[in-house]
Amino acid sequence: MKIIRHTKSTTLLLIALLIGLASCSKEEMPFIEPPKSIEGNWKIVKATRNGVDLTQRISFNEFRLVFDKGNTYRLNNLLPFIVSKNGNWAFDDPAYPFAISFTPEGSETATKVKTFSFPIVNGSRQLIISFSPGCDSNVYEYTLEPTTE
Amino acid sequence: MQIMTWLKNIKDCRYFKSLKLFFLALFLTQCLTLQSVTQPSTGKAGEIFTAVVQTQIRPAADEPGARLIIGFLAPKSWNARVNTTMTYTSNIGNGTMSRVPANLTPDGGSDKPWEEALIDKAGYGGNYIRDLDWVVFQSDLAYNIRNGQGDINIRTTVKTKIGPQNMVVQLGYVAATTTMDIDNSSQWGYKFSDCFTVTDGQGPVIDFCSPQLSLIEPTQNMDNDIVTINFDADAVPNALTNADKVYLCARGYTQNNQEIEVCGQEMKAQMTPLGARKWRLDLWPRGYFNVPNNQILDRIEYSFTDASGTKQVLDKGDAGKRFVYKFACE
Repeated sequence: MKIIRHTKSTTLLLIALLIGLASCSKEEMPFIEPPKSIEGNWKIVKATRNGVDLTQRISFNEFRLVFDKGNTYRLNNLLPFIVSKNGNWAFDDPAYPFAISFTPEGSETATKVKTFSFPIVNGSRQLIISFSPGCDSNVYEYTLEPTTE
Repeated sequence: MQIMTWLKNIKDCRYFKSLKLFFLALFLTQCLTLQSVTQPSTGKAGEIFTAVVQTQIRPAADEPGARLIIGFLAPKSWNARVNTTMTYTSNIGNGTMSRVPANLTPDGGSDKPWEEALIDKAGYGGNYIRDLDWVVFQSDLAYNIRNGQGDINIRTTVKTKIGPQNMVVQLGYVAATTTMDIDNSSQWGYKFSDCFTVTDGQGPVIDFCSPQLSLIEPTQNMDNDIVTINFDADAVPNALTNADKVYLCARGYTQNNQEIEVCGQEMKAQMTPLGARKWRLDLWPRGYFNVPNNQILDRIEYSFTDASGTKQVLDKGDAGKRFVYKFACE
């Protein structure tokens, strides 16, 4: 009698376990990194040439790099930059960008910056790019921040 | 007698124990000496240049996994990072060397990578123009240096290609190891050569070794670079030696010989005083001369003037010709 009762309890337990397992349906919750947005106006907050800080030595205040909707960009108040004309830009990977390239109007060739980073500093996104607009031996690094000016 | 008294005083000194510890520590410290550098005094542009660096390490502690470090200071236009090779022979083995990894920092207080740290630690020697790079190599093999093993004598051969420009320049050399402390002057060493002359190259001689009335940094530029024009009013006596304001008077020549002059006492031409009668102006030539989009500047010719525009300094001081700078890359 005792054995029968024990068997019943075991069976009930197994059924409960099976129902429990069956209820654990696998639900996919994919995490999708949103594309990084750089739309807007950017100004230079730091500029170096071959590691030497030029920020206070030449006026970078008026230069603006403007990223419009639809991957076009504009350059206002031009200074040495990777390109000299307005055109189109692209990230290598919109979600995890490790490189940015610029294709000026009238050109079919995209020009990549030498190095690119996209950190958040003091709560503000920065674009840090390096490039050589003249001789290859001269490397410039600009740090840009968004601006409403 | 005096020596005996001095020794007694030292022995009586309450700091004697500390002194003993200090000298003991000194004795136990590894010692590295850059003994000599052998290099030619002249070379032709584009030729292979060879220097030999003799280094001695006197082991006084165990240093497992140590690699020899050799730094070489050369003008940027030599592109020494790409064009240099180093090999060494020594009484503990011979081998090849490779550039240090970009993020490797020296042992000691510096948190900068080797090539930047050497700018702070060794500097640029007697070069008046700072357009040079330290290039740093390490031995491909690591060695376990043992306390008490005999002196290690290392002969490193540095080979590089001489750059394209005519110049006179001091080259620099550093010897160290990856495990020894470059904050301790007995654990690394540096030497600068006598001035080395490059002949048979391009352009006027760039003299890194002498004060210049005017020099342009970086030495190689195109018109789309940011160019620094320096004026040292102390280099030779001249009309602007005691000027309180100095202006650049410049004329740009495009590749199709169009002339664009900016020569007036306007704000953008006013040079920044740096003290000690030295002046500087940073400019972007394309913007400064308002060069049309379809043209490229070939060269600029320039002089310096005072606020009235009546006093002028040329390449020999109060006489001579305007300074000439030609835009070109290697």
